[in-house]
Amino acid sequence: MIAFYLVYCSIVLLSFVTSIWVFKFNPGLRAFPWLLGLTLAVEITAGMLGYRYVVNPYWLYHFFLPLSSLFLAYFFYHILTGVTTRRTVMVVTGVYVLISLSMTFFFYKLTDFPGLPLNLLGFLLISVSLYALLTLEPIYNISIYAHPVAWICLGFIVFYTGTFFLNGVYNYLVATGSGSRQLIHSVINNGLNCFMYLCIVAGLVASHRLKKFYATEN
Amino acid sequence: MQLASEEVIITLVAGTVLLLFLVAVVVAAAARYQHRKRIHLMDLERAKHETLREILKARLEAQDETLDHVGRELHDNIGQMLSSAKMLVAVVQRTVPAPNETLDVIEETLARAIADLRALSKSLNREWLQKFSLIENLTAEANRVNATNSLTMTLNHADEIDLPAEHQLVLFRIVQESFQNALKHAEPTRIDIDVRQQDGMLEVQIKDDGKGFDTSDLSTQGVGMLNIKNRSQLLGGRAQWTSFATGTSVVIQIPTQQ
Repeated sequence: MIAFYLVYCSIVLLSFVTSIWVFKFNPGLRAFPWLLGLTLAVEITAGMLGYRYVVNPYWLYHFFLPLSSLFLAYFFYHILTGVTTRRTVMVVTGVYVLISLSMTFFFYKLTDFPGLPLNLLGFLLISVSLYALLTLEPIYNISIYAHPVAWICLGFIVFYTGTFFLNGVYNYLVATGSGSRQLIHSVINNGLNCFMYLCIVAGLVASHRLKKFYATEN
Repeated sequence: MQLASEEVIITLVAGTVLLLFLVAVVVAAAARYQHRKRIHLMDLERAKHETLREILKARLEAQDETLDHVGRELHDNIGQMLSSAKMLVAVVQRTVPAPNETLDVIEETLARAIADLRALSKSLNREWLQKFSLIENLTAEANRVNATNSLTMTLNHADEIDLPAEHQLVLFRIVQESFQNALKHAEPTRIDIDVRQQDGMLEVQIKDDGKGFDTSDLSTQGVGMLNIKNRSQLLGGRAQWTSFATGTSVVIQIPTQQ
């Protein structure tokens, strides 16, 4: 399991480094160095606490989720067009942050995993990513496979859908007393995480490849 | 245990449905993107053509302005100088007791030069040309050229031309440019202009019996030919050259329904 964790952290590190040097065709991508840097810091800290010091690291995620939602909102605000849509993103994000923090302080203990806020964030991200995919504006003559936003949204959709599905399967594994439930959960969860961050890397690289169009424009 | 099994079945069914839904959405998103990309490219192409058309129109308008200016200068300056010279010759003829026959020749030459200059000036003046149809302007131009006795110009035309007045003026400029080209490069003795209208297309053919040129050699295609092509394109038509050692023919085809 540590091996999966290390592979996962390496991919997050790769995505963080990529996010710093790539050309950002849209101002929304400026959120990713901050988001991925925060993710890396949280995951390394959680890993150290969990594996090395055997301390419950879940309290980190209670604050990570609302913070990351702000960066994601910044991204989608710049990606999506339309005053109403952008306003909706801002309002929903604000409401989510309030709900998440309220649950942290009034519903959960800091040692509990914030399952509901995570699922709620997942639901919101799937919705906004689907909307972004369906309203994707063409950039010059590039295909959808070269569109940065397509890759990033695909990553979010696959990860959070998979997470919903995985949580359901996990309950079965717990009920059957499956000894390998932790391993299965870890493999699938880390696999989905890796897929999402690789999609983000693909999206960032695709953004960098658009530099030639914007260079000639300037 | 049964509850757990039921939960698994529900989870599996829900997961499969969700997965199929997501696959359908991703495919729909890709199809929708392709469609938008096609429309975007068409819009870009249209905008590019429109910009090129506007640039071309501006350039041709500038050329027309220059021709107008030259026509006015010819009439106002040189025309006036020739008229003054003719008047002075008439004064000399009246005052001198035995005027020389040379003075008569001078007076006749000056009168012809003034008439030719007026005709040329009118052929360059947009406001004047707009008062007449394409056929009337071509007839006047043919008469002007024939009056110089340097070559013979004939005009065969259809009875009616279904083209807006503005387009008839542009077409006249094209024909004017064509035979000016012929006069400059081909050294013809005869130029025939044929105007026909059929099946929604107006066809003007300008044929000369000059020395011809190599139509495939791009270096022979000067500003005149470029202007003819550009003006034809502005009217939604085209110009085509055929040339042999015995002469050149340029055919301009313009759609009458714009």
